[in-house]
Amino acid sequence: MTTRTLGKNGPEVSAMGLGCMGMSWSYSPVPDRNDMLSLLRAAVERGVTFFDTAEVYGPHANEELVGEALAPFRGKVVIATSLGGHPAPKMRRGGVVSTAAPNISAAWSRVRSRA
Amino acid sequence: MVEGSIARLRVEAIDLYYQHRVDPDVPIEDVAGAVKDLIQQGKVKHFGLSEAAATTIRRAHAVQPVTAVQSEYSLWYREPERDILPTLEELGIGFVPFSPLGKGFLTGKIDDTTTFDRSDFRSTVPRFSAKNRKANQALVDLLQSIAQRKHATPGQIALAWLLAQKPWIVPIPGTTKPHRLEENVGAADVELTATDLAKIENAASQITIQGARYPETMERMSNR
Repeated sequence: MTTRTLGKNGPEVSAMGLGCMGMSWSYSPVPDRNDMLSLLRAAVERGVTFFDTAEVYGPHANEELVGEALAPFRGKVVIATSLGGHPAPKMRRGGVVSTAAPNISAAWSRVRSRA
Repeated sequence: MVEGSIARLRVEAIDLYYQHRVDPDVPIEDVAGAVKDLIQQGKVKHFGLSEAAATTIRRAHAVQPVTAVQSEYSLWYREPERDILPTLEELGIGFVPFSPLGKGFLTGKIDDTTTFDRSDFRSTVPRFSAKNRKANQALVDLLQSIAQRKHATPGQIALAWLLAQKPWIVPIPGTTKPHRLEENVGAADVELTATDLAKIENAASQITIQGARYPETMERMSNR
């Protein structure tokens, strides 16, 4: 597959990425995990090098799935993930509090205080 | 938090770390500063934002250069064309359209007779009401007519259209099916000519998409 540079100083990635959210939640029914591991690896074989997940998908389950599937291809693929939450997260100053992933509360502010 | 993501992803550093939607109560400079620290600590390689307003992108970029912005963009949600794409072009930031197939609608496999389980997110989306699906079918019909000429599928035309907008756009269609993966990846080889694009533009301009893309509570978390 052809590749593209994601932003001026960004990584080079396949022109078509793969969104992984639906492999763990959001659209029903949630698919079989082994099938999704195979699908992710098939994507690499097909030339996909850009994968999108998020801590809040699951929560955690989607990152774990993507991490396990792509472990053999470390350094050859680009994985994007995110901090923060939806749907309907509870927000407050100094941190991002998600009803779906409460352990991320104040993560940003903790990082700040260390600096 | 970041250490957890690193462990779960089994990586030494996160390639691209987005703030998952903008938190209106936390100054974006604080978020950008936090990621700047993570980059200096070697835990993160690149910084990204999602569903952020143009002014927010500029403020963040001034603290820590933003590599990519991820927001919804497709032939049935073109809001980013107004402010976001020009800003990204000026600043040299990549764009990652999510829901590039309109949550499945642009593939042509969903129509007004499709039913969604209550646990399916789309059952809460106004644009996916049966009435609106029927009204929005015109867009799928347009994609279908172009697809037939190009020996492609409607979904492939929708994805190829996104790739044709800017060379720094990388869509992330999701799927759980091997044949859909093959179809989506194949869209990277579908070339739309200037004439094709003009035809799509002209036809699309005559179609008004019905229904909001999100329930109101979620829309309020976007474009902050």
